[in-house]
Amino acid sequence: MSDSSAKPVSRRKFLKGLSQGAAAVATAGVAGGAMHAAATKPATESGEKNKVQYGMLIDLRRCIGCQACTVACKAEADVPMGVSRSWVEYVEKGRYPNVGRSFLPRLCNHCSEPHCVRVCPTGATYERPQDGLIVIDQGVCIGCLYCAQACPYDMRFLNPVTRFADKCDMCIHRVSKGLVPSCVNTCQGRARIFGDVNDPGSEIHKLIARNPVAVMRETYGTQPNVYYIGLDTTDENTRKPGQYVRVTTNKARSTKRT
Amino acid sequence: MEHHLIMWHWPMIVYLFLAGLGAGAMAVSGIVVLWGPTGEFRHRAALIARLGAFIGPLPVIIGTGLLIYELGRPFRALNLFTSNFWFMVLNPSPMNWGSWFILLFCVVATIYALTFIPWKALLSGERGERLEARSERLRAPMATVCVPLAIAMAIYTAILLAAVPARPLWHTPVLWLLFTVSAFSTGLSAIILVQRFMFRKPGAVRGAVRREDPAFRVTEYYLVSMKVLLIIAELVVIGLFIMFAHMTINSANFAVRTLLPGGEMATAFWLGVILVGLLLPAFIEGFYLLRTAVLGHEFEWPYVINVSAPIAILFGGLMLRYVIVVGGQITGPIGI
Amino acid sequence: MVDRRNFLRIGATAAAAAVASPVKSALAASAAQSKTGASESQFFLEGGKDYSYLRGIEKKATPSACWQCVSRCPIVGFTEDGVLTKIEGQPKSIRSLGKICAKSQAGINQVYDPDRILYPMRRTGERGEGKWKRISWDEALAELAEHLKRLREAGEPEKFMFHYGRMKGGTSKLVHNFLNAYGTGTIGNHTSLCEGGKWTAQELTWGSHYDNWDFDNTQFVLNFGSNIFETHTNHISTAQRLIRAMVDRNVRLVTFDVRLSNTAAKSSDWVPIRPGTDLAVVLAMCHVIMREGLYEAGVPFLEFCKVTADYRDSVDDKIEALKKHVKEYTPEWASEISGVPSWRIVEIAREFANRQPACVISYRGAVAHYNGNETERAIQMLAAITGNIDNPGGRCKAVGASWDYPKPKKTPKTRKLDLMDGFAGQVAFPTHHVSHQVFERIKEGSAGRPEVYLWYCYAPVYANGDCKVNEEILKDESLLPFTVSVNPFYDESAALADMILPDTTYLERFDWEDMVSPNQVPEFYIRQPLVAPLGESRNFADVCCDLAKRLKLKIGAKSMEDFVQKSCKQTKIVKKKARGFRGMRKRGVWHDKRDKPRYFSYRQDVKAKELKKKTILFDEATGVYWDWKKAGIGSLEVAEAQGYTSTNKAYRGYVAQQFGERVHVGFAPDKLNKSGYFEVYSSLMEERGLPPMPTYMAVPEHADLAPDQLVLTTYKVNVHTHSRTMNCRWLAELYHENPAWINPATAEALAIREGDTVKVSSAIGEIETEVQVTPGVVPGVIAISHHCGHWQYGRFASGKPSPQGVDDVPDRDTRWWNRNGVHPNWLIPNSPDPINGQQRWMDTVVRVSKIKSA
Ligand SMILES: Nc1nc2c(c(=O)[nH]1)N[C@H]1C(S)=C(S)[C@@H](COP(=O)(O)OP(=O)(O)OC[C@H]3O[C@@H](n4cnc5c(=O)[nH]c(N)nc54)[C@H](O)[C@@H]3O)O[C@H]1N2
Ligand SMILES: Nc1nc2c(c(=O)[nH]1)N[C@H]1C(S)=C(S)[C@@H](COP(=O)(O)OP(=O)(O)OC[C@H]3O[C@@H](n4cnc5c(=O)[nH]c(N)nc54)[C@H](O)[C@@H]3O)O[C@H]1N2
Ligand code: SF4
Ligand code: SF4
Ligand code: SF4
Ligand code: SF4
Ligand code: SF4
Ligand SMILES: [Mo]
Repeated sequence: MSDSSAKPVSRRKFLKGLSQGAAAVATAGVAGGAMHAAATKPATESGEKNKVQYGMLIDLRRCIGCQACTVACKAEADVPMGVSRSWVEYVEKGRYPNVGRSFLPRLCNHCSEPHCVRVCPTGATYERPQDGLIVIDQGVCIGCLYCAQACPYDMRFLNPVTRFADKCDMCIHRVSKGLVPSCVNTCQGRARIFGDVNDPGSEIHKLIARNPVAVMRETYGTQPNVYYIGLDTTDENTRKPGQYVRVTTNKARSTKRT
Repeated sequence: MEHHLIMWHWPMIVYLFLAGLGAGAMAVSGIVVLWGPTGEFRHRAALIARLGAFIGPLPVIIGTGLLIYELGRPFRALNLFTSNFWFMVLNPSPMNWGSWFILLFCVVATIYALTFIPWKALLSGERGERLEARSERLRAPMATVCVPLAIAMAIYTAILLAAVPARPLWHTPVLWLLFTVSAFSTGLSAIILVQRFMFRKPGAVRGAVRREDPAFRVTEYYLVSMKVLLIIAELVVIGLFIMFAHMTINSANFAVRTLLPGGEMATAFWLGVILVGLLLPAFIEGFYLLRTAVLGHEFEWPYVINVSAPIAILFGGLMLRYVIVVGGQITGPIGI
Repeated sequence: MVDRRNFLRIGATAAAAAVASPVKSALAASAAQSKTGASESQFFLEGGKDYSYLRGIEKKATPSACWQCVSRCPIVGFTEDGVLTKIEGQPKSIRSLGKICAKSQAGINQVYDPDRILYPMRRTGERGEGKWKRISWDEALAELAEHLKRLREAGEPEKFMFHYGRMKGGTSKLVHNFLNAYGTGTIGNHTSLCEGGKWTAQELTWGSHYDNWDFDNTQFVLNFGSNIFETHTNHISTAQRLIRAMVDRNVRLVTFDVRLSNTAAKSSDWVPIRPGTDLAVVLAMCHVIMREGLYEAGVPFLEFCKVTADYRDSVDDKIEALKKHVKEYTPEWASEISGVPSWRIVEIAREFANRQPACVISYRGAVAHYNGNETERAIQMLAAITGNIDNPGGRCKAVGASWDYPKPKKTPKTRKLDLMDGFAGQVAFPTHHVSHQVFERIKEGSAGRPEVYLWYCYAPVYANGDCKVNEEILKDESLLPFTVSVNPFYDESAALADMILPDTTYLERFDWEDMVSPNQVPEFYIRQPLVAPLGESRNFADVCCDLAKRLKLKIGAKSMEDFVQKSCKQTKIVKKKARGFRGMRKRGVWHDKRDKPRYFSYRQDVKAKELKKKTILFDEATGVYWDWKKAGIGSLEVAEAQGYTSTNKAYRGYVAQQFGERVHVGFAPDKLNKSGYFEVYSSLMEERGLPPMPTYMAVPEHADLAPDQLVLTTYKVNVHTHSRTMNCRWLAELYHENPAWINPATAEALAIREGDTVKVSSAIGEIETEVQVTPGVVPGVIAISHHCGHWQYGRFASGKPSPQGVDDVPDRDTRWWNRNGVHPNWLIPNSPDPINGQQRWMDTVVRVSKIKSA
């Protein structure tokens, strides 16, 4: 209890939240090709140059679905059994012999307009002003999981050990010491690139600028900071009759097959 | 489809149900106080108002307690109230506002309930008289506050869910109406049920009301009619709810399929909510109502039905929350 | 009980800490650290360090080597207060480039496996009954030494049989030192289960075994049955190079597989193919290349090839011979057999020949068949005629670190029971033994039986075909009177042992490693303990040293650490440039910066002076210079009379090969007396009455299948290694069930739907499994991975805690699934490729019928 009262107000990004809304409108993206919806690119040009925004770019061409990131993530924070901060979905589709399987690594998008922050009744979930990461202050969280309901990406869960809300925190304990996140470190395809998306000198910024990128579920207006190259937007739920699509989430406890 | 984790379980379901029920009961009570009959039905109205007022805060307090208990760390829940005012204004989380609101509701509802305590009978002497008089004076003004508060409370239980776009089944413009109608019908049913237990035997006397009174029958008739009307309203709203979702493209459309035949929640929905919770009581009660209305029979019915119809409605109300809370969680946004 | 497993309490404390002191501290620490402006690009360190998640403090880093699979990638382990909490790739490694896979990330689970065997155990009930008592190491080793002493004194050391599975690097050497000193040659391995057949086929063509695929320099990759993005014996090192080549340089990858593996899925093209028919396709590609004259790039290489009976034939003769040999193998013919459209065969053949350099790769999907030997030989031929052998961007001869290590001075001549090479006449060239026949040989008894059977890193019951028979034999005290399992885990085989010696896991022991480099530059690296061995577990190599002491044998080292230390001293370059043992312990990996990638090794000249040595003889028939003395022959006369080819193990004396006017080191033989040529034409095969040139042969069982008969294929997945990772909770959580894949067309024909339960039966057994109907598998095939269906091994693998399993652990109830999947090896008979002895994993014919609807 004492820690919550000691919480500095500045940590809650309420003022910044207002200015960001405007920025979001200014940089709203244009529609892309059939393969990927063009994502809103980072807000470098919109007068927010100085804002550090850590994010990730996942180059799906390089992803071989190996799940090393999934397990690295488990190990890094000793994420308990049955829940996952990160996972790799397999999407299989087609008709024999023209069948494909694509891989989609998932993690918290560290959204610039995060629904999880909007609904959190205590301010436990907040955006770090110094790097734009969305984190959970477990000293404040009450475990109500409203945030988990609000996240359009299913990124949040109740940690069965701590009994608080949990999710990918972009490995702040590593990145704040100048190390890439654990999942990035292990990725043998170098499919995951971490960095400051607003820093024109960073690898991630350059890659986003040079490639057609997409974010997930852009229509939800969350403005994700996890970008994808080569995002296959096939979803099992939107398939046409008679079309074979199988999505295996590989998420703990929900590896349901269909 | 992607199988989502269910994170809000029975405590939340029960909480939403009880909160609606309490709000409904209090609303009914307030309405009766403000616009209820006078004259020959006076005593009956007073009884209903009293029961509603007494029921009002209880389920809300129990439901909230249950939720807090479920969180596991009761004192942590106080964090809901420790964030500063500007945070609340600038980051208007329905749950944050909701918690203040529930607090307010519980306080107001309790005061309102206190105005119904028969002080005279409890405390002899002048103090009893004074309190009783003051209560009676306070009752109507309190009721004017309580009715909107209760309706807001009922709506809040829906807003909590409807506020999140990530749950397409919840994120519909009809949910508040559905939950409000259901709150009224469950609140009313709770009142009826309680008084049925009170008037179990003929000759039972509660205050100024006797079961044999013709007034009793007539009020019964009106109450049951009201309930049936509410059921019909609820059916209409459910129809709207499904239609809205169904006519929406993508996610909501997909989500509502979980309620439609073949969906994962279909059995609970069609059996629990529609059949047991709505159609069955509507038909049975409707039958006796029509007997009176059309054939002019005296309004009389077997005690079993007398009790089971409101129970069925209450059950249906619970199932409605279940279906919506679970169905909303197992469905989600579609599209990668 | 408490001191029994104090490591397990750490888990509980960590959990408690998480509750008490949440990420707060990390948050606070990082807030203080974070940079203020974004004007300067911030560079993030890729690896080599890690910080405590809960406490923010830096963890202790120790370099070591992974062993979750055979690839043995260099790693760095991170500990907090002596508890291993994280494993990363070794960023300094030129092989793995600091990357590891999912299995390696879960290595921690091996160490802290709640079902680990931590104390020696002796059976108390019947064999296999599951009744055990804990004994001391002294008791255990006294009993074992007693047995060994008795056998040795009786002059029958060969009745001590040692059977190993995954034993590599320095451990293999030290254990062999012990076995040699003791005098037994009855040493079994598991290579025929694995890829022994591929190796033999390579030994028949280019001498030694193991091919490295030079993805960094290739322009095109043609894949027959390698699941390189999920498996491979050098997985992490090669997979990342391949995907990089594909994305950065647009290298196309064409994969032939009977199912849509992740590799097939990630390939530019997946070409579905009927099981066991790769040979036809490869031969047809050779046909296209020869017919269309696309072999130009291969012409210079043909000089180094033997394509006809006479090694002196000209390149033109060779081309003619090749043309003639592949003439009948038309794409139409191959299409009929394999189901691959002929136009595709033609197009891919052209692409392969026209892109230079190109790399043809192959693994068990191509070789674990009746005709696997010929398939691999044909693939070698395909690479040869396009000049893609040992060249940048092609199929290269493997390069690994060569360690020097202590050996015992004088060892007795070993004796052995002839159990390892299958039944007489069963296999023509069992150069890597026929281990899946060992049990049958023991049962049959004609070659004698071991009295002490000890196995190590090996799961005889589970990993071989025909689990039922394996179980029966291992259980039978009349066949195997005394059995010892060396094992950190209670697997299906250990459950049938008389004694279990608790080994350490790979993260608690010393070793040196020499795995092949993907970039043709050798890398030296070592394994060292990241944490002290838990309980009383002891590294088996150390146990061998202990046994040697008890038996008064000299094996060259006091302990494994001592052995590694001495190896670092003995290996000159490591001593001089890598600062020996201490340097290696600090760095973990080392390579010579001046080393250039090694290609065209066969072209190295041999100086005339070297050939002048007295004991060196020129063999007219083969053009080989060989040292008869090194080959173990007493005199020049005998050597001349016998000739190179007919001298037993003459390859040991091989020195060089005559190529026209020149003498090169050539393709030196390893296990067979072949010449120094790249032998497309194998005289050794011919001598055995086998086709000298790679020739089509069909899998006999696959002819005329009934409609309900399918071919069973087994495969590996990216997050498991064989049977031995299923108790790693993070991996088991990801993959613990293996429904059988069948094609929609097949399913329809058999009236089977997704989720139905079917009975799959073969000639030797049956299993019941759920079905997954997917277009990602060829019609007529049923594919079941071989990782699941444990009936022992611990709570996560089988739901059954081991006899020493502990219940007071935080992860006790965390297994949230309740089905273990099935093990296909109950259906697969032990049956060798008749040429090389490879177990035919992918050939089994099964009947499939529905028994329960979904
Ligand atoms: N993740 C993981 N990696 C491993 C291992 C592990 O257990 N797990 N084990 C290691 C070891 S010891 C080895 S030997 C290697 C083995 O590595 P691989 O040989 O690459 O792996 P397998 O899964 O045995 O077989 C490869 C593929 O052959 C396909 N196949 C089956 N029949 C046919 C056929 O007739 N034709 C063709 N073209 N394909 C066919 C299968 O569908 C499968 O995808 O992997 C090593 N790496
Ligand atoms: N159906 C089918 N069967 C197959 C294959 C297939 O493709 N299909 N693949 C085959 C292949 S490629 C191979 S290589 C073999 C592998 O066969 P094995 O080498 O026998 O199998 P593993 O699962 O690698 O490990 C065997 C045992 O080693 C023990 N072990 C693990 N770690 C240690 C340790 O640190 N020390 C000691 N002493 N023991 C340890 C475990 O108890 C485990 O049961 O399986 C083969 N089996
Ligand atoms: S580690 Fe990299 S390649 Fe592997 S699944 Fe994750 S993102 Fe894909
Ligand atoms: S992905 Fe979900 S949890 Fe993460 S920031 Fe966005 S809304 Fe919040
Ligand atoms: S669970 Fe915690 S972080 Fe999530 S909304 Fe509730 S208080 Fe906020
Ligand atoms: S950034 Fe860290 S917490 Fe997030 S997915 Fe990667 S490893 Fe997990
Ligand atoms: S490929 Fe094998 S050795 Fe390399 S990291 Fe993975 S499990 Fe370890
Ligand atoms: Mo293997």
